[in-house]
Amino acid sequence: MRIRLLSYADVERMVQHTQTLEQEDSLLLCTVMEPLLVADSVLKGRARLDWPTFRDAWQTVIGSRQLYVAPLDADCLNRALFERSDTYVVTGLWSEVEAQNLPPDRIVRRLILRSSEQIWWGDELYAEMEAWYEEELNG
Amino acid sequence: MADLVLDVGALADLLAQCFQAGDWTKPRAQTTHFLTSEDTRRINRIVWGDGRYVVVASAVAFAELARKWDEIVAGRFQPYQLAAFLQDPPDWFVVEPVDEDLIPLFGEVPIVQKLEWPDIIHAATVLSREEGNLVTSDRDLRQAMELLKGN
Repeated sequence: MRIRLLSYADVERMVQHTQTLEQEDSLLLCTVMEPLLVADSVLKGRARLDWPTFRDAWQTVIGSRQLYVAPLDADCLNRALFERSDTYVVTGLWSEVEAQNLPPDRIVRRLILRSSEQIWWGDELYAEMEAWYEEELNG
Repeated sequence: MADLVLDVGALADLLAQCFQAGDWTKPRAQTTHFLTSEDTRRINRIVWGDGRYVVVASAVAFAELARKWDEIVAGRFQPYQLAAFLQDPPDWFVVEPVDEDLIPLFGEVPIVQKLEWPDIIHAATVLSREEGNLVTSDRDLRQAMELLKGN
């Protein structure tokens, strides 16, 4: 089955328009950053939704779709935080996460989506995410 | 007594002490810039206690540690030490995930001043524990926790 990566804008649109959610042939995947950042904008009054509406809408979204929300957890940190040699010896931090000039949400997305034999969604989603947010960063 | 959730500064200070001691299974926490004497007393009671309570850090604290490695870690420990700790954490320590279960708790955190989303995650992680307290030196985060306790 095809996997479609959801951006922040996709998740925001879905919670704002739960009445018109379209059927999808794809399995949907987003990192946990997407709903968290939408929640953050709701809490800070930057979104058109109030908190109870967002909370209910999010439940509707995850209840009605084949949507996997990829977490940042200990397995993810073990898998993605470090560079390792061929013999699995840690040789340093992964260079893509030691990046103080980037916002923390970008680092979390990188950790979650980093390509690895242990993930089931393949290599393309990382590159797709990077392209989106690089474009956003450069305005 | 309660679980103790560490923000990134407190986490880095405790990890540095663990690695300097050589044996992180039973460290003796000491007062630092980000760990007050009260914090260290509570950490040591957990580490040397009966296992009912744990020290907790959100996975996002580790992501922040990596992002600002030079500034926060400042040469006090090496990536291979952190990797070994994460691979086999001591019984008294838990890495709490950032996952969809955290989203409803995110909304319970009072928004004060310049509270950024990583700070809100630390506070929501406290709420995810049956009994929890936060170790932080961030004034806005402390204020949010005080408001939470008042509710």
